Amino acid sequence: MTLAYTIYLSFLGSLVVLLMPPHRVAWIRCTALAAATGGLALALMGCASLARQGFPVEIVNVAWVPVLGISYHLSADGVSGVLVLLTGIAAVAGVLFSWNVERRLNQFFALYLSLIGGVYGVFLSADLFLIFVFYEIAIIPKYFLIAIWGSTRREYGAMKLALYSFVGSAMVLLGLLAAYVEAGADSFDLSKLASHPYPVSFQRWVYPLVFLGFGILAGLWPFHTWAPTGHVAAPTAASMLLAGVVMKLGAYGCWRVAMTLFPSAVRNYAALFAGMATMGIVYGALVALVQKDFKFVIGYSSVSHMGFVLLGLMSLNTVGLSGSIFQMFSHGVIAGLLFGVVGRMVYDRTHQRDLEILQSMDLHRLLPFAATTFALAGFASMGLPGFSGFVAELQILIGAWRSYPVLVLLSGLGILVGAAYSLRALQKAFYGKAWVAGVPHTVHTLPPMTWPERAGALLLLASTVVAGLFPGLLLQLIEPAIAVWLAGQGQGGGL
Amino acid sequence: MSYAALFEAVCPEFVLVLAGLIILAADVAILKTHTEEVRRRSVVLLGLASLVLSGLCVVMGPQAQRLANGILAIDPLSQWIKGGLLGLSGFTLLLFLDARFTRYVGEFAALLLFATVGLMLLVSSEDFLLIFVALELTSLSLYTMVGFDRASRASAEAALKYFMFGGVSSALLLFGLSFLYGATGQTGLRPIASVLTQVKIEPIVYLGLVLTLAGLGFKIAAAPFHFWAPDAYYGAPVPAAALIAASSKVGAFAVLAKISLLAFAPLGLAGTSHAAMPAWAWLLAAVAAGSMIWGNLAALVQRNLRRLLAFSAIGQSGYALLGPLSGHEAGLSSMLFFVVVYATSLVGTFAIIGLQESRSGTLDLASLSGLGRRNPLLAFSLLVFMLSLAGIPPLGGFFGKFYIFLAALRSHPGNPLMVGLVALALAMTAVSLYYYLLVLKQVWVTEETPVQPSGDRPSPVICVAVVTLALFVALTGLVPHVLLGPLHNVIARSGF
Repeated sequence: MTLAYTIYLSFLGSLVVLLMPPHRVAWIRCTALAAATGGLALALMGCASLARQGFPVEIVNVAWVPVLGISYHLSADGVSGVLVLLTGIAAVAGVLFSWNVERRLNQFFALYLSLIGGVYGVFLSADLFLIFVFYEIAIIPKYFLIAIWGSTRREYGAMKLALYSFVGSAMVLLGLLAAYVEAGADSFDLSKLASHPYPVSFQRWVYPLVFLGFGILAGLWPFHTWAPTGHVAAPTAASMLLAGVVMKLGAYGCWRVAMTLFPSAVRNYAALFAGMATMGIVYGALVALVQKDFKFVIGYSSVSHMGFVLLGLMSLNTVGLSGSIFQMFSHGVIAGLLFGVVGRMVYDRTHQRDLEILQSMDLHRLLPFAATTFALAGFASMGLPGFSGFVAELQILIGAWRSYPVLVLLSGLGILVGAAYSLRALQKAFYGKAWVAGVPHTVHTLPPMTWPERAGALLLLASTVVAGLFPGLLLQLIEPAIAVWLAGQGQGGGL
Repeated sequence: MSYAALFEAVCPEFVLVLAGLIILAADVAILKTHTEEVRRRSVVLLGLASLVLSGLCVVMGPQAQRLANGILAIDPLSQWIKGGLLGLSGFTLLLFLDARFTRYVGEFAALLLFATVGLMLLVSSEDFLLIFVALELTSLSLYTMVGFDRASRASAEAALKYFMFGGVSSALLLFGLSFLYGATGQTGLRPIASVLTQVKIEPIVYLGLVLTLAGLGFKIAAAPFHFWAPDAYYGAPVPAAALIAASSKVGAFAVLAKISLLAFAPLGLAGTSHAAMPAWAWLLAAVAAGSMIWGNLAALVQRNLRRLLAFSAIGQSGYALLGPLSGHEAGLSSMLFFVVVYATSLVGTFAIIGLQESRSGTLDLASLSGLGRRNPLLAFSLLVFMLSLAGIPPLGGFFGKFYIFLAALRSHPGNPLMVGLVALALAMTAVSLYYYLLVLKQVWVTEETPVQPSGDRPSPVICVAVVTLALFVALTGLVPHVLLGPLHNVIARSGF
């Protein structure tokens, strides 16, 4: 199965890049791009074969720590496939948008690729211990990427993010250990543990622990505060990965681990978590509406969009859950694009993120490509038909309607506000005063758009458009996997 | 008991004692005229040779032997631990190569060997008499080693504090042992246990137990017996501090586990299948919880790497105490795995501290800045050690913690005390990430302000040693089975 090689290729690339002399800039960039592109190609091939041959597919299963029944067990189903594909796309785009990084370049890409490798690993693991190991492997590179190459309050943002993630993973670990002990198990295999009928009283306390532990990384309100500061402090590629794939790790963990292991408790907490998710949607959107910093707008919009993912998970039916996974893909691509425009195209050129100042720069004239890209990404983010966000959010709202009509209405409000903040940011950043009132331009020239930026933006735009116009491509992978999962949950006596 | 059997049993220790004496004599007689550098190299070489020879004796010698009713009790487990102790002491001795704090090189090396002998005897005895004597041999050697830097006030202060606290704790231990002897009429661990199973347990036994645990709590630097640790770590010469932090900790934890598993088993901890825990386990739990909380919170505000390590050591002792608290074989193996990996990271970290201090004098965190640029190999090793201590996969420290928590939860399923302790330990792990990252931030993130011309290159031998230790820590995390497999094997064969 080709999907597993995405993990090895990323870690290998990380090691090779680390050992390269830092002044060999072109070699390092090309190696990193090759590793990321190779990963994307493998992911595409893997998804194609998943679609052709059906799933779940066992990839590898060998004993790792036999004394404790821990095995190196990878397997893939449609959901893993889609998320691996997302990771591949985000990885390539991130490398392209990091083309202008120069300081400590070999370390930058080494950390970047090891983060990617960890993310691939989480999406493909079928052993709880292994999931956890890959999940934590992703924490430390994030810290260094932000602390070394970041901007505004980078050390604070990096530490906050690392500690939030680590607290979350400590909660997860406690839950996993308790589940293993409670089952009297001799294996950490996810499917084996999931088939154990845990007592309801046990699930009552462990399920929220594990769900919230993962939820912290998914930006679940009110544990989302690491996300905006982290996104803002991070260098462009790290923001793209953070919003694009790392937050998905959290949501994926909520679904793959917490909801799978403890089906009886899912219903008990569904309303609560759905409410928190809706709070995230509305609150994130409202806060994004009043931000002065361009990057904070996108940071809070991520919280809002991740709220949709979690709301979809809580709908507990095929439509809502599929929509949730689809939204992970969709938001991963769109958030990457938005951060790419803000961080790389605008900030790296103007060194300004304050919307009031950007207003006077008339950027749509200086950076027409950036303006167009941001407009399109904004439309995608608002959920306009034709883009992937439309399909995803529609599915989530339909799915959630049956259980939570009030929350769906509130989320609809969130979508409206989402349109407002996207348009506000677009107008202020690109079509500002200078354009409206003919105020004299403060900036006359900016460095021209480079080919890596164009390539990265086009890759992400193409992904959201293709997924929006042909949602079946992804849904044929997602829906059967969700159906299998729901059937399994039904047997377990839950849902 | 024949003398031949005795010699066979203590051959590894005998080799070290002999080597210590030879080093002392050679330093006085032959090496006197040579420069300090030559003398230091010679004694380190001699010491390493004797450690290797002693290791060979451990491997080739008897794997199971009981002499004099268990005063000397050799089993596969004790041989395994001795192997670990010899390795750690060997790396610690290497650090002496770069240490310029004393002219009395022979004496220092000999003391290091004697301390190791004490630790080896400690783990190969099942009798309080020899355990106490061995503990004293180790402690007296360590007191002297800590105060060896005569030019440093901190060293003298550290030695005095360490000695005072150590003396009191030895007295407590002896006091406790005398109560146990009075109640049972026995000094052997297994005989004590068999008496305790037969008679009604009197309060005096519990008094003895508490005092014994207090005495051992000092050795492992668990709160509230930890007050010596920050000063000792701060003031002691690097090899002495590394010995306290690594070998001595492994030996002390091994003996603590042995005592609680063998002698105190009838008091209700070991082998309990039911959820209830005996009252005295709460005491151990309180010490563990206190150490985790105090050590980790106090480490947050440290700005000196040695003091930071000392407080983190207190916290780590808290985690390791979950092992004896689990009271069964998994608890023992997880504790030993954890402590060995921990000790390895500490020796490596102290090696880096030594190299840095010879360059910059004091070692505030700030003076680490730019290490990533100056010496990427050392900085990378430090990254491995710190992340392992913080419990980040895929490093040995993560697996050690994971296993110890798992063993703790599994030993008393559903017991809220154990769940609470593990939850606390996990919370404190998250706290500890903060200060470990502060160290790494200085090393990798902060740019060095002035680019100083580095005077002398760090000793290549020590650099190789550091990298070896880092590789070991990484390997035990990537393939825990390399350490865990043999460990389970020897524990099963030793009848725990």
